[in-house]
Amino acid sequence: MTSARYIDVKRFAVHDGPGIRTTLFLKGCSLRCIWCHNPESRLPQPELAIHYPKCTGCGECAKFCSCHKITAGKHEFDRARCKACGRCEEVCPSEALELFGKSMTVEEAAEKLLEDRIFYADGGGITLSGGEPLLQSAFCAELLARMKREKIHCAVDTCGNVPWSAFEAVLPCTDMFLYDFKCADPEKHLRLTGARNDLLLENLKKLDATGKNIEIRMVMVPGLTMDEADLRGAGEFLSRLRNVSAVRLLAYHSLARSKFKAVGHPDTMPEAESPNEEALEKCAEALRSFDLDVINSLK
Amino acid sequence: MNYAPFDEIRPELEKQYENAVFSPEECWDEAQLREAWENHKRENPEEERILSRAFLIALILEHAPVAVEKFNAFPGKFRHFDLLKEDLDAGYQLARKKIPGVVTDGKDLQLGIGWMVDRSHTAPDWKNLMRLGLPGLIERAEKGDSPFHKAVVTVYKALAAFCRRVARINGNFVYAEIAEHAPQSLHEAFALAYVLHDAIEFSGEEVRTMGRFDEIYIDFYRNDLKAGRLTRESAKELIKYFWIAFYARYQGKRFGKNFCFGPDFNELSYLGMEVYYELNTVDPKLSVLVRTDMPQDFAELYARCIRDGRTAIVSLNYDVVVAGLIRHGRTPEDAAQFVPIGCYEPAVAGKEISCSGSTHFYLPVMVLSVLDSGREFDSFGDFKEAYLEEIRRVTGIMREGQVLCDLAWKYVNPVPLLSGTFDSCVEKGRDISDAGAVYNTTGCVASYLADAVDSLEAVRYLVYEKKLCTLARLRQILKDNWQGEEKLRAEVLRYAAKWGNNDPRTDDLAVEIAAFVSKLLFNTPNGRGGFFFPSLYGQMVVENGRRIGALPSGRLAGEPMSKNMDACIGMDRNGITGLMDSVLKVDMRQFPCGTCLDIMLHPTSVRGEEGIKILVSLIRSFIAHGGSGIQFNIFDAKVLRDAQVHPEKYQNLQVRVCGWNVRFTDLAPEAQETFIRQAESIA
Repeated sequence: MTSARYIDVKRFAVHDGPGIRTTLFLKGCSLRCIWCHNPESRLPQPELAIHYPKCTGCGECAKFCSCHKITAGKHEFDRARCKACGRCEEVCPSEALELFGKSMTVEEAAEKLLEDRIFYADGGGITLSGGEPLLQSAFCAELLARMKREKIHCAVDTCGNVPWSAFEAVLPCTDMFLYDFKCADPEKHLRLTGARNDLLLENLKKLDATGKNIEIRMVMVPGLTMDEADLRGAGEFLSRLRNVSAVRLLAYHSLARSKFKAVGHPDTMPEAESPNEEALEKCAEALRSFDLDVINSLK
Repeated sequence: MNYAPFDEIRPELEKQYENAVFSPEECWDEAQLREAWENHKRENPEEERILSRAFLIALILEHAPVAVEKFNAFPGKFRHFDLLKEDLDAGYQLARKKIPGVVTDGKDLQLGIGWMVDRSHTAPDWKNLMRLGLPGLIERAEKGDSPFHKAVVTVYKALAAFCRRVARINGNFVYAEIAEHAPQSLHEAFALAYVLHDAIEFSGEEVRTMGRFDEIYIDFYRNDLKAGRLTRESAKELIKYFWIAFYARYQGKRFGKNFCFGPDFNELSYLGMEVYYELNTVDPKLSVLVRTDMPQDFAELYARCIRDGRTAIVSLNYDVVVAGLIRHGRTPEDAAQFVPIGCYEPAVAGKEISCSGSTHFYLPVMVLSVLDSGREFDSFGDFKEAYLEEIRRVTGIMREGQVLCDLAWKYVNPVPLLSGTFDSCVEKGRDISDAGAVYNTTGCVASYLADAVDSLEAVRYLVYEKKLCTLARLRQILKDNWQGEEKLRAEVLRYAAKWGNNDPRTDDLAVEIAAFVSKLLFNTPNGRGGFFFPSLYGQMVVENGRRIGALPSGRLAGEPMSKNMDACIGMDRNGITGLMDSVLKVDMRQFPCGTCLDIMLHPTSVRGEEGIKILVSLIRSFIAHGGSGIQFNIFDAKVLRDAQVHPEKYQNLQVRVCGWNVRFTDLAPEAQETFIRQAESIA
């Protein structure tokens, strides 16, 4: 049976589509957004995270694995040698070690997602997110088909930077797409996310043509995505689409900064303040002038 | 309504008890009242308790000073100079003489049990009061000639006289009307409910519900609108004047006065909920009787109250409660008429006195007792059997203590003011304290389920599965409050299964304990011709936690207990839906005396219009799948921390404590910490 690498299953997810949902976060992403909120989801392979504030320096991990060492009460980790076997996670008494990227079969995932099914009846359902879930599109397609057999509302949260064939695989069983839109300018997009946006804009147009319900999601980062030109670019592009039910503006925050350190990635998180409700509302107004239905998520 | 706009006069209304100024007109002073009372006692040394109590109540109502409060649509404060309270003490003395061996407030912390004469879970028959009015109640009691009937006539005549006096002193003609006939308008109906409520409470019983608000008052409201006596807006003002009087009594520092809504919702339900939003107060509190067919617009109206901090609202599953009551001996017609008498303790309106706080037992304490017995068990199954057997043993002791209290109540405090509204009491000629109700219930609260379940599971994990320690060693570890065994404790906290995560290892235990407790108490007779009925909830979690030692679950001595059906603080790691999935496995119909789940949400999860719908979805899902009671706190831990530092900025910040609300700033620091800890665990 098909398996996938995942980072988390979040129950009572209320920001990942309509109603009460369970969201499965898959591992691996084809973008490298500098403000990434889930840096532990970027690489496709398993990674050990070390939540330094929780580490008490007890040394239990070092007893099990030579990748860990306690020197003068401080935890040292040899990431290059780590095979991500996950044994150290189990022995850590303070839950400072966490293995991201465990594997789960479609059936295991289905069981997890169905645990909360009684809460989906009132307009909720399940969401596949990540990372970029469509990098594991075969798994997604199988899982979504399984969910559809259970008559569960299914959403896919994607950045769109995947081959169109990945969309085709999940289209039949997806009720709604949550489509990230970072920036209309291809060069700026490259700077902010590590990739040009040609493919994802093309995919968005194609997806729109299928008639599927699309909610656009835009992270508002002061100084990076909230400028007039950015909003105008987004507005012009999005207003040409027909099946966008709403554009949801999300407020950037830097809460995930510690996770960069935890998984040993360079911290690219911008030094920006999280925008408040009014700031988001200004952006919303700018986009509304393009006849878009815009949701201010802080309101 | 010829009164000042509510918002202008609200501060004065909130202090209507505290700042009451008593009129020197038409009253006796303290010396005169005391003399009359002493004379009466001297002249009637052998008088039945109910008659002497009625005399004293009447004496106060007819002659005690009445407050001048012309600004208030609902005046009616009186000075009783503690006479009623002093006589209550005399009642307890009498009870001890009449019922040898009775302990009226029994507690055995070693066994984890307690019992008492519960004077705080009662309610009159509000519908009868509205239908008959004081004259009607007097007239029907006059047909009987027992001491009970005489007492009822005495107190209601005195209450009518009191209303006339209030009318004269305050120029409030509404009060003159309710002395003469059944209420004709919403103002009269509210006034009658208010004076009877206060009179009962000052006579020593706590009135725990004002009944089904929308059902009782809808006809008055409609008739007033039709006759032009009220508009929708002036009705809102009237309700605010009415409700704030209940806040004023205790300033939000007691258990709250319950007003019940539903299960059929009418225009007064909507109006009332609108008022409740505007009033934004910790007291009164509301209970909403929910069926799956609850209209979405009403659901959103009250979910908005909850979301925006008016959290003194419990939702109760109408169908589940009715089914539970029927299973425990109420007729279907009676069960359909339940109201919560207490926080979420259902009882048949006008036919049942729940006394739901009479007895309690703390489920985790029996785990400790089995450990302390020093017995060894070959398997966890044997340990568990011994635990259940211990519950059987201690609840037996508890019931024995309670039966004597049940017998003692009629000597302590008969309540003719309340009993006179009950058809059955008038028919039988017996007070509610003397088995006058149709259903004379004694509630039995099984508390701290999560602590018990997690402790049992920890025993299984530590001793029988992983064999990390023996029972004897565990006993010593708990005596030492886990000191020196921090690593073992961390392992228990992390790896032993915990209630509230949809984990069958603990959930099956919870289901088994719940079924055992319910069956154990099924049809066990109390001392008032009724039965013990179980409930499953845990309150006073900080106060009682202080007195309960370390537990196998990893909980340290003195730490707060788990609240109601909740997980132990921070142990529901799969979020609230995981917690609800666990809770929904327990058949709530086994607990006719009530159960409740407390949910804490972070404000961001219910933000905006979508958030209101999320809240409604949660309630609906819970109700549709057999949940019973559910209530919410919506907190950001950071805000609570700030409120500790700057209480002045958070005067309106409410917390749902258990089945009632208080202002966060009124909580003791330890209780504040408990809420903050929990809020941090969901952040």
